[in-house]
Amino acid sequence: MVPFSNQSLSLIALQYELALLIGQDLRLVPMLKRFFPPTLKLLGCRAAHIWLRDEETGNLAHRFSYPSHDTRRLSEDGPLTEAVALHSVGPEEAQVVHLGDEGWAHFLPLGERGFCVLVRSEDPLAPEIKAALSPIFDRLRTACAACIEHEQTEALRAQATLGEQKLRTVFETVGEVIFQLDDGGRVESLNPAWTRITGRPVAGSLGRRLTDLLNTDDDNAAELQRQLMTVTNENLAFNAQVNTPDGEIRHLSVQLKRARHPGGGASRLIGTMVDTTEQHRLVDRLVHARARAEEANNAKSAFLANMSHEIRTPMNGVIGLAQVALAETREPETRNQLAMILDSAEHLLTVINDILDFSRIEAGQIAFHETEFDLPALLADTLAQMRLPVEQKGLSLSLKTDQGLPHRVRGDAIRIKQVLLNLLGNACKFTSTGSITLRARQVDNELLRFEVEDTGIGIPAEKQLCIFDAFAQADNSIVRGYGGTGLGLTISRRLVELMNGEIGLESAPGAGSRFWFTARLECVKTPDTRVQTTAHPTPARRQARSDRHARLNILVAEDNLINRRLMEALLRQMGHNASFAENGQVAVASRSEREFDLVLMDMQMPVMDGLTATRAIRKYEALSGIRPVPVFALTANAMAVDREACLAAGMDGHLPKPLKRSALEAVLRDIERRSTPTTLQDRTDNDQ
Amino acid sequence: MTPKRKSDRRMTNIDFRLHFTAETGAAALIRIANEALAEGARSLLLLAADANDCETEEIDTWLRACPVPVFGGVFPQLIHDCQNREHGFIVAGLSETVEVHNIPGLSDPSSDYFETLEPLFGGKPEPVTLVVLVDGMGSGISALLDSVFDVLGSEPVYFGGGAGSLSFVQKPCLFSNEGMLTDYAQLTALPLRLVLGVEHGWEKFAGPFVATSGTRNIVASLDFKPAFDVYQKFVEADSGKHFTNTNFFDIAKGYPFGMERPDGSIVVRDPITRDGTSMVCVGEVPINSVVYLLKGKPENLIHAAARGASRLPKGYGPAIMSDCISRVLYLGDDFAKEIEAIQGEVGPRPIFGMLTLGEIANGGDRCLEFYNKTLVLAATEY
Repeated sequence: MVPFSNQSLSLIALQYELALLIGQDLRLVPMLKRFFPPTLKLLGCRAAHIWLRDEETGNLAHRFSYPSHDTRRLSEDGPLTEAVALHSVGPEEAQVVHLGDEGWAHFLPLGERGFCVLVRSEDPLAPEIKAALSPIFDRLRTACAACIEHEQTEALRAQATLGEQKLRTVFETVGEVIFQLDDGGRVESLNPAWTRITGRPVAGSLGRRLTDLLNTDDDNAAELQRQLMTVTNENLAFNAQVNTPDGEIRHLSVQLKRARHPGGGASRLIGTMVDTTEQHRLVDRLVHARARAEEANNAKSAFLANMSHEIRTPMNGVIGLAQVALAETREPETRNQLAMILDSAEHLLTVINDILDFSRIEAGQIAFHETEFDLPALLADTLAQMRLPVEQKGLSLSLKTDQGLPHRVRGDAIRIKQVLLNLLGNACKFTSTGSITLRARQVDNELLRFEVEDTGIGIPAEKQLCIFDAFAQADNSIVRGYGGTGLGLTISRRLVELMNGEIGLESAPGAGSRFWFTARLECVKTPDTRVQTTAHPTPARRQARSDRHARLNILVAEDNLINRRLMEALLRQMGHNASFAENGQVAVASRSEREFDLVLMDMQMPVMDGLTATRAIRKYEALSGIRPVPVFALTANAMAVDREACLAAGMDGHLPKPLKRSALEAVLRDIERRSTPTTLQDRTDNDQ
Repeated sequence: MTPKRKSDRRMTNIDFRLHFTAETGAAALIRIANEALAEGARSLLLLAADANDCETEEIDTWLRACPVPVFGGVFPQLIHDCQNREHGFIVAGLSETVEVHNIPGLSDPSSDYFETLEPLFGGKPEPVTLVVLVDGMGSGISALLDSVFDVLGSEPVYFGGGAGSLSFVQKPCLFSNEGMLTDYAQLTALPLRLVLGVEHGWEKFAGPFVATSGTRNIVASLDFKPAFDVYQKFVEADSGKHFTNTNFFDIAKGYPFGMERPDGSIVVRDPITRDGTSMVCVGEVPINSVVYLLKGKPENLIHAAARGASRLPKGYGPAIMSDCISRVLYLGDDFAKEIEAIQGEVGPRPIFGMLTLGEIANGGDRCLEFYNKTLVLAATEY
């Protein structure tokens, strides 16, 4: 190496030049990047590296290389890595380390902060030059420390600015109103959400009392102001309203709490307001929609009731008159034709009843009326009702109940019977030879199981899955071959389910079917609640009363002329006297004029309806102190609610139209049994 | 300079097929370039003499349509067949495809070359040799070279120089596939290792002075006095000549600045014009740097050239010269002796190259420098 021509001057010139290169930027890396390229050129070096001590951990970490290309290659630079390790162990001894083919590493301390390594390819730097660099690199150490401190400060400042910016962004963009009140409850700050929600400018709202911004009357404002003054760090929450400039009312949910100043200064109330206007509107819409739905439902109920009435009224005429004609006709061909009319009408009635029942169930209009009843008697009655059609097909019908079957139970007897009749009717319909058996047993405390078993055509397994679905008989051809709406099992299933029971079947083609259902019926304990297994029960009452007939005076209140004629013929056939009133008012008048054994009262009549008339009769009887006459509704208003209305008006019973002769006979027998002898005659004298 | 050991990865021997024409029109350049392409060249190095008529649309059109990578430039003079040529074109057809990057904004103080270069080279294997050509009138050459070295380090061999005109007016001076470029740097990666020889032969005669003010390649003051006043005082005294408004470069070509290194080496800065009392150099003179005034003797310069050539290995591949035009201007007819001395050292190697506005060379042993008034020789290892 050729020494400087004028060593002293050159060393000073070198120091001067290098010293002025230091600190040209406040950031560490840019500062070093401005220092090292000219420095390396001046010193004939090819690379510089800096290791600095981490302030927190105290560990040395590589911070800089020029060229930065060498940073990426640092881990592959074995000689340099070894030299650094050597220097770390003995810094005094390892100030200049030979790197083999790579040249020389010169270690220049940066005080306690770390060190710099200058790499030179050829000869090592002369000792005097390295010595001349010492004050330069001491100055560089100071510059590095200043840069690091500056960067840390800037990082903290940036962090703080970012945090403030984030908060400011949240404050300005959040959907909720964020506000701050002073100790007097005046608005100190308010975010733009206030304007978005209320349409009121923030500026115009600042400095005003919160109570002045909300829709409150004086009393409420005073109370709210009092609460604001006393609120603690517990949340105060309340609902409020604000008028927009357009006159619209916005609903707000307000929450606030007291925030103590960290430095001990005056406390502030900080709160939020959430716009709940849409929620209020939604609730209003829901209330409105519910009212409309209820109206629609009421209209549907009225329609169903009206349909029921309008169909049953003429059906009553058709069936009743056919029955009358049949009883009065002996010519076989005509009797046969009348029997067919009756069959058809009965079938039509069944279909109509099914459809109306199904509609009521679907509309949620069906009601259950739990009463205490005699279960064995119900089963016997049901069986008796089916006996005629079953025996007409040459089938045998039997009832089998187990020993533990309760006698008195509480439930809706009508619905139980409806399901049983449906299952028995189906069994009869689909069985051509053999038998039908009704079984009943107690499964557990309140659960009863009923089974209807037949020896009929049976049902294939794949059809069993949908047999309880609406309008789904096992085979569409069945509708054509056996008739029916296909709704019977659907209605049964819905009724059973509404009674918290289950329904099912076991069947195979050609092997008959066993339909079963369960129902929860409360057992009513009586001294003797057990019945013996019976078969082919015969109604005792009917036999006991069969020879006992009396002529009754019956008032029929009926506005429909055909139905009046029907009742006249029917009652005449049964050996009773019938008087008629074409409306309720006439019926009341008739009742006040004379005694009757029975009043059959239509519900819907002009001038005065049946319920009003009944109430008037009962009032008259009470005032007169005379014995109440039995009043039975005879009406096409066949729904349960109608029955209840009749009983509530003071009637004794309810006979739905189309009137079933057997039902009327049962009522008349009961009246005969209860009536006093003065009004009775031995009917055998007058019977045909 | 002792070249640092290099790895052999990605290296190949490249065949340089030289084509020369003394004609000056664009058609002549296109003709010999097409000849090179016809021979199967996969890249083209184009060198043009400044006295040619190269600013033609015809050349731009041809460059943009050229099917292979193009690099090269327009220089004050060319060297071919042991002569400096004021006119003509040299086309070297290379048997390998090279990768060329054109970097704009060489005089733009806001340019961040590191940001530009890092995506181009960062994370990739370094080029074996990087040919660095710059617009010699660009003011940010040193900053660019610092960034090139920052990104690529000392691994590649760097070779190149400043293109442009002795009129010292900036104009299109680099050939590229984008057309002719002004105020650009051009970086071409060659998969071929070159061996370098660098010498100048200039010696200190006055100083030291401190460049107390200035920017980039302009020295405004020396020792806090107007730079030209100091320069004029010493140069006129030594040369016996007087500066007029028109003869600045005629005198200054013999008296460059020199920045001494601790190892005694001197980096030369060539003052080419003056702006009032400021002096404009080819290449940067950092503020606060210590400078000397240099002067040369023809025999010293020729001897230095021979010394540089002697560092090249014996072989048959081409020796490429990047020699400062001011050496030609200073040596005059003696420049033929410089070429002869070089040829005498390199033996059968064909010599071609350019006479430049500043020279670039680095064998990996130090930072990348922009030289002035220096002879740079690069030769293949074969």
